This record gives sequence, structure tokens and C-alpha cells, in this order.
Amino acid sequence: MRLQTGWTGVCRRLAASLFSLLFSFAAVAVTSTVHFQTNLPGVYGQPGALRVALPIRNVGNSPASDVAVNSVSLAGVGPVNVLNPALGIVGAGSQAVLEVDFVNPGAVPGTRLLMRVSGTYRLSGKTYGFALNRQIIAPPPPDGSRSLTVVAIQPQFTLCRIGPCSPLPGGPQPFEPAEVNLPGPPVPTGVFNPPVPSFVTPPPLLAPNAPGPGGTGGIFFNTTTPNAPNPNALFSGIPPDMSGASSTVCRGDIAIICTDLVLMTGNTFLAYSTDGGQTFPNAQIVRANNVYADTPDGGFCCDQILQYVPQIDRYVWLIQTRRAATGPNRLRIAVASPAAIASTGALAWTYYDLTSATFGIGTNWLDYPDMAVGNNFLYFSVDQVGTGLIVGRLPLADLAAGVGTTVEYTTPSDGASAYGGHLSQNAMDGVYWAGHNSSSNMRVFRMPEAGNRYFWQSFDTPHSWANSNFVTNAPDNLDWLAFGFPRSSVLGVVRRAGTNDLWLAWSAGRDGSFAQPHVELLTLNRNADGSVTAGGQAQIWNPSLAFQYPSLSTDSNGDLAVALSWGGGPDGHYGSFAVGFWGDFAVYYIDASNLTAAYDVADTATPPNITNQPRWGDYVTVRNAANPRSSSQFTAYGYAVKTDATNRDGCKTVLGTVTGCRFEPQFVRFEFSNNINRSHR
Amino acid sequence: MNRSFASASAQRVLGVVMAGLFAASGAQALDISFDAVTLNTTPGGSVTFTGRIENDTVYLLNTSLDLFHNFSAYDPTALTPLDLLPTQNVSIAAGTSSPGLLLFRVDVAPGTTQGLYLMQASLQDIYGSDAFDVSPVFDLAINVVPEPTSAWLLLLGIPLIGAALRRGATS
Repeated sequence: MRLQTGWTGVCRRLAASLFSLLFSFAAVAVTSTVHFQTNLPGVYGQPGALRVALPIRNVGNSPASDVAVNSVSLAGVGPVNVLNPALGIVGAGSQAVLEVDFVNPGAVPGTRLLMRVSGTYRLSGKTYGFALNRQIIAPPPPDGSRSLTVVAIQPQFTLCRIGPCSPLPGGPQPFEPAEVNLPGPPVPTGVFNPPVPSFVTPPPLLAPNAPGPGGTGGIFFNTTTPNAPNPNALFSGIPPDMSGASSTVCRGDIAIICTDLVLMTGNTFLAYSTDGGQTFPNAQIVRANNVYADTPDGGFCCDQILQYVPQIDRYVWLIQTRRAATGPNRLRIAVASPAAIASTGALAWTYYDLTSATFGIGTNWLDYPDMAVGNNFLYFSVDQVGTGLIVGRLPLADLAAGVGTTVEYTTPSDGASAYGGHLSQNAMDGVYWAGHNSSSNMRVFRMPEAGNRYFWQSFDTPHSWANSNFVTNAPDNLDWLAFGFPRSSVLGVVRRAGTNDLWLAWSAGRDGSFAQPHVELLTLNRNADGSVTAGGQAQIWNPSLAFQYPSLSTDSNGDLAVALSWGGGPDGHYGSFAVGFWGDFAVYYIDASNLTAAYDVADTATPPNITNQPRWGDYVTVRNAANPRSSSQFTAYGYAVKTDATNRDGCKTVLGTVTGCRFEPQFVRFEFSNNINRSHR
Repeated sequence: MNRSFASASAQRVLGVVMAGLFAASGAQALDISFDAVTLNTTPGGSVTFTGRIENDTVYLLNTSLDLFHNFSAYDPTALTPLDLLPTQNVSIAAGTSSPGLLLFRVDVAPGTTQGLYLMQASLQDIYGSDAFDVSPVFDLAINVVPEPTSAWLLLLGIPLIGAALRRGATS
């Protein structure tokens, strides 16, 4: 270019500079409405290799298109392979999962490793850059063991346990729709090895009237849908996490009189029945603050679990508190005999508090618990939020005596892969739990009753499964599975009585083999030392509707009872609850939902974006009925979402439009009928 | 026409910067008080944003272990942001603010056209997910100013243009 000199040249250059300045202003003065943040990553560590599945969420209010990753590093070292550098479109409020392989730096488990990601996206025809940083926690090795941590705890007593008994006035337990179940880490994609789908599970059948012989599946049903005068007050705000347990105690010299006590909980209530679940009178429904005089942490919350423990004839009731303003919360585990529950209206309990401090997690908090019973221990699990699953145990003898005891528990970071998982029912001489290292590799944990160590081992599953695409719409065009927690955590775990089998069940997505989200089942063979080897893999699936949220139980005959949710698909069903037996090739429902619970949720943008968040779950349960009159009886607890114009504060708002509705809790007692040939199981 | 467009653009830039400041005063668990939301540099240079982190989470947070920045909405041919928190070892107790920190650096590519370049930044902690333990999204600007030679030309040129215009008017 020729250098211009003199006045003319200077003026032209000045004019060009000014124009350039003005043009630059015009070019950049566009406010982008895309911003990315990251969520909890899934990490799969093997000797020499580390795969990270990093959720990248668009918290802006516009979709980002052509999202492409062009640079990744971990602890300053580049990747071996970026599995999906082109992430495509990431809608507002949506996320994509970036999967990257690195050389495993072999860092001490729990060490933080900085992952850097940068790339580009397009918005309104222009290309923009993004750069993300996230600390990855180095995972434990695929196989290992560790000693349990031991802490002493003391019992406390409700007022009714130690003095005159009447319900405390309590008050409503408000429960926000956006209740805080943070998304768990995504499951990294494993080696693709598609299964041969097992026998199609037909669409659920309407349950036969109670009691009586079953339909084609031939199971007895006894169902109840409590409809107390004001049930809405119990279930407003959020789908109830249904749990329950039952006991039957028969006494008498002249005539045998049996007391069939059934306890059932949702997020904010406990209801009991003394007639085997035929009725749950309104007077037999209590809230935690009717029972407890204190208001621990941020108050009583949710996620209640019930277990009946036959060997000590005690019910155990677990309730989780909200976080205190300073962060921590607790699990309150209460113990009472069926007789005390019946005589005091479920007000007299001996209880133990397991706080964040108990587990040495400072101001972090606990969420999404479960319980199981072994020969000598009560087992519990709970997520340390953002870190991993804690599993612990309490001696049954101490719980029965109501005395001080010790809690033994695992190290939370060891349970990162089991985040959101539940415990094995029928635990016997040791409890199991599990998680996914990847979509083709599992990690199974065990805590034998003998000794004070827990163990874990990793192994390939016979087949891979779909770890994405869980979308399935209900007739109101809402994706009833959109909430996404706990997604594919292993929720169904049971030691099958009379065998060496351990059964695992989890929710899987859609792929070329399965047109709808479905339940994967894996059998494991237990070895003499308690370790396991993979057995067969099967599915509960149907090409026209989805099955999710599995819960498993067993009886002394080795029957496997299943509770789950179903809905969506081209047949157009709302998310509902069903039960059945494995091998019966049918599941039964009581009363299907007729709408989808959904809420308006604000994000962190300024101003916040309001999106509609459908929600189902987060769990249903099935338990052995502990009924001496029938060794193969089960009780299950779920719910339906029903329209109810009288309840405007119920369970549905769609961008400001409120639809009256209620959550209908459902109790089911069911068993195999005698005319069923069990040989096919 | 050009002047009014530039004026409107400048107001909008000011507007988004103000939005960023407004967002910074929100009640989220993490927050940043920037020393400045607009910094100047030249093509090929870099700027370092500094400020204080307000920790309203319930956790003791360490800058090198627990905190990290996210960046978006910038011109990738001109800007390259680099989080500087991992290079510092400062613990911030729950409910307190950090001392002054080097937050992040933004490198400007050589040959970048002078002008105002926008970007967005936010802060997360390792416990955060979705709406938890994240900061507001801040709008920031890097003003890429002319090279010194161009600046001298600008300084010299404006009086000369004025003189030329005045001479034209008198003639």
C-alpha cells in the first residue's frame, strides 16, 4: 500500500480511523443472550484413561446454534479424544453433555483437576466465543475398599414418648415447586454394545378390584387411594416421594386377632391405617411438626422413607430437613413399635439425628435418602450434594432398645458414581448399592455386616444402554420426565431370596433398540466372598410408552416385585404409577393420572428466564408386606396427578396459568395368586 | 447519521454495562465487585480484570480449588479470556469478601480493529449446579484503542481537520 503523505493523505487516514472506530462500535454493540455454565460432571477413571462427561448449560434466553468445542485441557494437558466436539444447538435453559477422554493423571482420589473448555457458537448470524472452567474431582480407582468411619450418636425422644400425648399444633410445611434436587452427574458413554431387547412389556392393565383374583397376570390386588377431606393440603407444591411399610401382628387366646398396620409417607405427611390399608382416616394423618417439638435446621422437609423391621418389631421413619441458613441439614431417623404408633397416633418416637456434622461435611448438605434392613443393621443412604452417595448403618439392637449407638458410614467421594442411588432391599448379611461408571460399565459396592470395611468393584455390563434422550410427552404435550433427577441412578436393588442373585434396575433412555425410555435390569451372581459377577440383562420396555423410576423387592419365595412409573409415548399417557412381578410380563395400575405436574421456574439470568418444568417422581417404593398370613405379599406406594378445580394451589402452573389439580397417593397390597405357574420366573 | 448511530450504540453499551452493575448488586450466592467493567488496551495487548469476590454461599471457598469463571458472548477472533483464579490461593470464608484479586485476563489478538469489544463472565463454585452457587452474568467491555502511532495521528489530525474546515469556510 502506498504511503500517503501531505494534508490529503493525513485527512483520509484520519477519516478512515474514525469510521473504523464508529463501525467497531456498531459491530460489537449487540447484547448476546447466550451464556454457558457447567453442571456436575460425570467422571469415569480407569488405569491410564479418564473420561469426563461435562454438562454445558445455556443459561441465556436464546438458543445457541453450531456450538463447537475447539480446545479442551485437563490439568494443563490436552485431550486424547473429544467424542463430540460439535454440540449443535443448545437451547435456552437446555444443556449438552461434552464427553472427552484424557490420559488419567493418576491423581489422588478427591484431588481437584482444572478442566478448561473453549469454543464458538452462533447467535443471530454471528459467531461468538465461549470459555468454561470446571474443577473435576479425581475419581476413586475402579476397585477398592475402605474402612467405615464411626461416630457415636445419642437418642432423643418425642414429647409423646416421655409424657402426655397430644399432637403438637404444627403448621403447614410449605414446599416450593423448585425443590432442590440438583441434577446428578451424567453417565459417561461407554462402549456401544446394543442389547437384544427382551420380551415387550405390554401396556399396564387396570388393576382388578380389591380384593380378588387378578386379571391376566393373576395377582391379587388391594388398593387404596386416600381421599381425606382436605388431601390437597398434604400434597400441594410438588409430587410426593411415596414410601411406606406395613406390618401384621396377630395375637389372641380365643380368637386370633390381627392388627394390620400400614404407614405411608409423601414429602410432607405421614398417614397410617390400622385396617390393612382399607382406610387412611384424616385423623390418622400427621406432619413432622405435629410430632416433633423442635424445628431443626431450616425445618422439616421431605424425602421420607419408611421401613418395618420384623426382627425387632419396629417401624423406622426417616425424614430429611431443609438446609439451615448456614448450610447443613440432617436426617432424622425415628423408631417406634406398631403398638405405640397405633396407641399414640404415630406421635411417640425415639429418634436419632444424623447431621452434616455427623458426616464431617461441614456446611454441605444431605439429600435423597433411602433405607434397607439387614440381619443386624438398619442401613441408610444419602447424597452429599455435589459429591457422592454416603451409605451408613445403625445396629438394630440399639434402635430397639432406644439407647446411644454408633453410626458407621462410607466416604462420600467414593460414592460419586452411585450419586442418587438406592440400597438393596432384603439386605441379609450385607447391603449392596451401585452406580454407573459409564453406559457399559458398572460399579457395585457392598458393605458386609461382618467387619467394618466396604468394598467396590467395576465390571462391564453385558450390553450398553441409552444414557440420553429421555424425552417422552404426555397428552398435554409436556415431557413428564423433563426434571431429570435422579435419571439413571440405580434405584432398584434387591437380593433375591433363596438365590445368590442380586438384581439392579435403573432408568434408561431411547435409542435405536428402544423407541421409548425404559427400565434396564441386570442380574448379578454373588460369589462366596460377596463379590459379584455380571449375569443377564433385560428390560421392562414397550415401543409405545415409557417405564421409569424402578423399585424392587422380594419375598421368601424369590418373587421379584416391581413398582415403577409409566406414561408418555405415541399412545399418549400421563405419567402414572404401576406394580407387578418380574416374569409376569404385565404391570397394573390403579388410577392413571390425567395431567402432568409442572411448575414455572426462574433461572439465574438477569432478568430471570421463566421456563415451565414438568416433574414426576422422584421415587416410588415397593416393600415386602411382612404379613405372617402370606409370605408373598407386597405393599407399594405411588401416586397419580388428577385434575381438581378446587385446588388452585396444587401442582400445575404453565407460564402463569394455574390449573387446579391434586396428587392422589396410592397404596397397593398385592401378591401372586396361587394359580400362577412361577416356573417362568 | 453515523454520529447518531454511534451515539445510540454507545448508550446501549453503557446500558449493558449498567445492567451488569445492576446484576452485581443482586442477591445470588456469589458475586463480584469489579474494579472496572471497561478496560483499555491495544491490539496484541491484554487486560486483567480485578475485583473482589463476595462469598454468600455457606462454604469456605478457595480461589484455586473451588472457584472458576465462565466466559461467553465475545468475538473469538479478537479476544481470548483466561481465568486467573486457579493461579491464586486465597480462601474466602462464607459470608465474607475476598481481598482484591486478579480475576481473569483477556488477551487481544494482534491486528484487532480498534473499538469496543463486549463479553460476558460469570463465577461458579465447585458445589454449584444450575441455579445454585453461581454469580450473576456480568457484561464487560474491552476498549481496543489505536496503536500509539495511530493515536498520535488522531491527536495531530483533529486540529488539522479543524484548520482545514475553517480555511474552507473563510475562503
